[in-house]
Amino acid sequence: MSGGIDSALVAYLSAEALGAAQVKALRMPYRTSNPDSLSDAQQVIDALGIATETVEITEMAEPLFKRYPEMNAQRRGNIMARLRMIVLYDQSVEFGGLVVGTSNKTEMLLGYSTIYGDSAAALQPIADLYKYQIRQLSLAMGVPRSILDKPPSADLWEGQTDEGELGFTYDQVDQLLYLLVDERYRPEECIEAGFDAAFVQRVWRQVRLNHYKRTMPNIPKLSARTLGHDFLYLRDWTG
Amino acid sequence: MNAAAILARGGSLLPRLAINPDLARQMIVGFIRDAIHKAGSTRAVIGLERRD
Repeated sequence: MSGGIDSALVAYLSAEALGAAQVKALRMPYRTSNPDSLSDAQQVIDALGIATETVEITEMAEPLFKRYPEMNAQRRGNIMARLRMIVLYDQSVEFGGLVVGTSNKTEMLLGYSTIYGDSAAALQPIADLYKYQIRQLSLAMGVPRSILDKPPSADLWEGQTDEGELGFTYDQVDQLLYLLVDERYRPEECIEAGFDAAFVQRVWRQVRLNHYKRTMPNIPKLSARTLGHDFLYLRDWTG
Repeated sequence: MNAAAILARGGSLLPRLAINPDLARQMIVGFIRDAIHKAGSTRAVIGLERRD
């Protein structure tokens, strides 16, 4: 998100977990990025006293955009997200820190992210919180009001908002996802409960079709011990 | 009251999503510390603009 609530909250939580001196925030604007995003990000950096660096991605992205002038907003957005991933992982080595993700449960369930782009991270500390809960925790942690009140936006074009692009509000979809995922309602039960049928079908389809973004790539089982099938050690396995 | 009854009265399910912020904060802070230390690091890198 663009100097938004999710990344601000992760910065606050990481600074508390590790100490401000152990956290580095990267600002990676493209030439059309909203300047407000940079100033909102600066508020977080100033409040926490964490290290920061601004790495423009414009010169990295332009050659590919020129190669494919017909490129639509989705392709351009994906390229920018993946360029930022490259910068972050390079800084991960330089700073000696792990890339901490800023995805929330709502966008992960909807697949509203770029795989190997903004969803790329070593850990995802807020991915079990719906957007509604992100706001609640951010308020409690003292995230600046201007960030809390800003409409969520991926800043893909001037005036773009997540909710406008998705076609529904986070409050609406969080309630539906809560029933589908946490309460294990079937889609037809959500419709019976009063949700619009087209809305339920659209959201549930989005959740199902984007499941591949939330798991490791599938591997066909060909041997006696296949990674992800039989070789199932936890990631913090030390044996 | 079940979800259908709440929605039928024009109510919202959002109060059901409410978390205990102090507990969530404590759990996530511990998670970050643990996950980073287990990977042999003490530091974090965060992108403040990831998608625009």
